[in-house]
Amino acid sequence: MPISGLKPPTPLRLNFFNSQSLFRRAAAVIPGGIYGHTTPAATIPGAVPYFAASGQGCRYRDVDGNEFIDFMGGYGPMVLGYHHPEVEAAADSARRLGAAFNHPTSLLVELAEKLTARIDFAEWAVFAKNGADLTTWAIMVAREVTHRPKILKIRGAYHGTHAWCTPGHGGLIAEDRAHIHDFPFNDVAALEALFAKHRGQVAGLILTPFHHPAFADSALPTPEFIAAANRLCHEHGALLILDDVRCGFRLTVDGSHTLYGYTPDLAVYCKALANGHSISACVGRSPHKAAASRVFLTGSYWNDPAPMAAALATLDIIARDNIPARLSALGQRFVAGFLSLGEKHGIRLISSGPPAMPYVRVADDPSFVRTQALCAAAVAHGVFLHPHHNWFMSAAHAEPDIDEALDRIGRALALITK
Amino acid sequence: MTDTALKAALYLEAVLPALPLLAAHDAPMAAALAGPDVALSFSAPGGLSTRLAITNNLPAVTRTPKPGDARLWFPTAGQVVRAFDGAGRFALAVPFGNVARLPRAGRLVVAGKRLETLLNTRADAHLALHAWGSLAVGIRAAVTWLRRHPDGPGTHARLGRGLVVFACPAFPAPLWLDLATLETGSGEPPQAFTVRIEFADLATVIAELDHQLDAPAALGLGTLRITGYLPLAENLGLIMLKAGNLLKPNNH
Repeated sequence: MPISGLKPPTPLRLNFFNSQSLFRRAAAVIPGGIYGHTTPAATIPGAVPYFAASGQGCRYRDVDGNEFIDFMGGYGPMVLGYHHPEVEAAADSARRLGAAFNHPTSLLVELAEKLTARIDFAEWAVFAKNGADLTTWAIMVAREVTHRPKILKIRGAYHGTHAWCTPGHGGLIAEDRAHIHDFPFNDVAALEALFAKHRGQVAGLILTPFHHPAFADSALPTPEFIAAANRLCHEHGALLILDDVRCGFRLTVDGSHTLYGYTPDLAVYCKALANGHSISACVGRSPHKAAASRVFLTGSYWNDPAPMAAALATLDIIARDNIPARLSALGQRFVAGFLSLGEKHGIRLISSGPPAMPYVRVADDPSFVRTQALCAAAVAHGVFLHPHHNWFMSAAHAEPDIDEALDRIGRALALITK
Repeated sequence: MTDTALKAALYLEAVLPALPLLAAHDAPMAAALAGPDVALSFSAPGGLSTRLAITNNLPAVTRTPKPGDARLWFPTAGQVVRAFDGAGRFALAVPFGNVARLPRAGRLVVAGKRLETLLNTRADAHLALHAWGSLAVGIRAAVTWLRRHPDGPGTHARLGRGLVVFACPAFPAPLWLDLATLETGSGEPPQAFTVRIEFADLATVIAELDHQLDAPAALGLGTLRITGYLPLAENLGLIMLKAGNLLKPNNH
C-alpha cells in the first residue's frame, strides 16, 4: 500500500539475515521472541536489527555486522556511550573482587554517600536493579509514611512493568489498580480534583519530570503544573515521588527536579546512573527514613559491587565533564539539523522534548506511518532512530558524529521523497 | 445492558451481517439465497433490530425495519440467544427454521445452515472464508460492544477515531473498521488507514482467532505485520477478545 508522501525505503541497504535467523530460534523458545521494550514489534519489524553484537562510543554493531550511529543508547542507559573506559575500568576492578557476597561491600555506602551529597533533598539512598523495583518500592514507602492507599499518576506515564503501572494488559486483575488514579499531564484542574475526591486517602503523587509517552510527542511541564504538584502534595500530606529513571543525571548533574522546580520527597534513578550497568537508586528525606526501613527491600543480586563501582564512576564523570550541558548542546545541534533537512526535502517535522532527549516525527502523521518510513530509511542508512519513543543523546556523540548522522538522514530523506 | 442482552445484540449485529458478506464469495450460499425478493426484520427489547433483505438475489443487512417486512419479534433477549445458539451447538445456529413457512423465506434455512458451516467448521475447502467471516464477526462484535456495553462509550472515546484495516492475501478482500463512525466494510477503505494489520497466511489468522497467536513473535517473524498506530491495534484486539468471548460456547 503506498504511503502518502513518503515511499518505503526499498531496496534496503542493509540485510538482517542473522538477526532474523536468531529471531526464528528465539520465537521457538521465548514468548514474544524478544519481549519488553526491545521487542521488534514496537519498532519497525523487518526494517531494523533485532540483535546487537557490540558497541563502542556512540555506535553499535548488530549480529549482521551493520553499524549504526545510535540515538537510543540502549533506551537510555548509555549516557556516556558504549564501553566508556573509566566506567568499565571501575566495574572490572570491582568485579575481579567478587560478585554476590554474603554482605554488601563498602561501595554500597560510598554510593549512598555520593547520592546524598549530590542531590539537594536526599538524606538517604537505597539500591536495586531496575527502575520498576524502586518506583514500586517508593509507592509502598509513601503508603507506609501516610498510612493511606491512593497513588496518583500521570495518564500514559511509564513507571515500569509491575501490576500497578504496567502498560501491558495480560495477567492483571481490577484490584491491581483499585487505588491507582491517573490524570492528564499538565492538567492542574484534574490533579486538584483527584486530591479533592480522595481527600485524606492519597499517599503519593508519582511524576516523571516531563511527559515522554510512546507514540506521542514529549511534553514539558508548565510552571503552573509544577507549582500545583508541589503545593497539593504539601497541603494534603502526600509524598511527591519523582520517577527520574529516564531523565535523571542527563538533564542536570543533580536530579531533574532542580531543572524544573519540583520538590520531591522521594526520587528514583536508573538509566544514566551507571552507564549501562544494572543498578537503580531511590533517595529520600530524613523524616521518611524510618518508614522506608520498614518496607522490605532486597534482591539476590542487588548488592553486586560492580554496578555500584560503575555508578560511582559515572556520577563522577557526569559532574566533572558537565555531561548534561554537553548532551543539551549535542541535542540542539542534532534537532536543528534534522529540522533543516525536513525543510530541504519538503517534509514538515516536529520536535519535542528537551534537547538531551529529543524526539522528531513527521507532522500531520497520526498513524505514524510516515514517521515509521522516515526512521526505517534512517536505519537503512546506518542511523538508529525509533519512530515511537524519545531518543537519547550520548556524551560519546561528537560533533562529527552528529554531522555524519545528519548527512545519512539527509540521504535517507532524499531516497524516500524523490 | 445485561450479558444476555449484549449477546443477543452480538448475534443480530455481528453474526447475521456475515451472511451477505460471505454470500458474495460463496457459491453455495449465493445459490441458496437466490430467488424472489424477501425482507425479514428481527427485533427484541432494548432497541435490538436487524433487517435482512434479499433484493435481486443480493442479501443485505441493515438496522431499521421497513413496512412490508416479515417480522420476527423476540419478547426477550434471552429468546434471541436461545434461538441463535441452539442447545449444545457450537456458537451459532441462525434461527431461520421458524421462518421457513413464511412466503419466500424458506430458502433462508439453507443459507443459514451454510453460514453455520462456514463460521463453525474449518474444512480446507472453505478455510479462507471461515477465517475471513470469523474475523468480520469479531470486528462487528467489537462495534456492538463499543455501542452497547456500559464501558463501551468510555472505551470508544479512549480508542480514538482511527480507521483499522485487516488484510491477508488469502482473504477475498480486506476488512475495515472506521472508529469515527463505527462503520465496517470490506474492500478498500474509504480513507487512509490509521493502522493496518496484515496476516501473512491463514494459519496466522486462525491462531489469532483462537487466541493462540504469539503476536510479538509473529510481528518479528513477519507473519503478522502492523503498519501505523500500533496501540490502536492492540486496544481494539482486546475489545474483540472481550466481545468474541461472549459468543463462545462456554458462555451459553
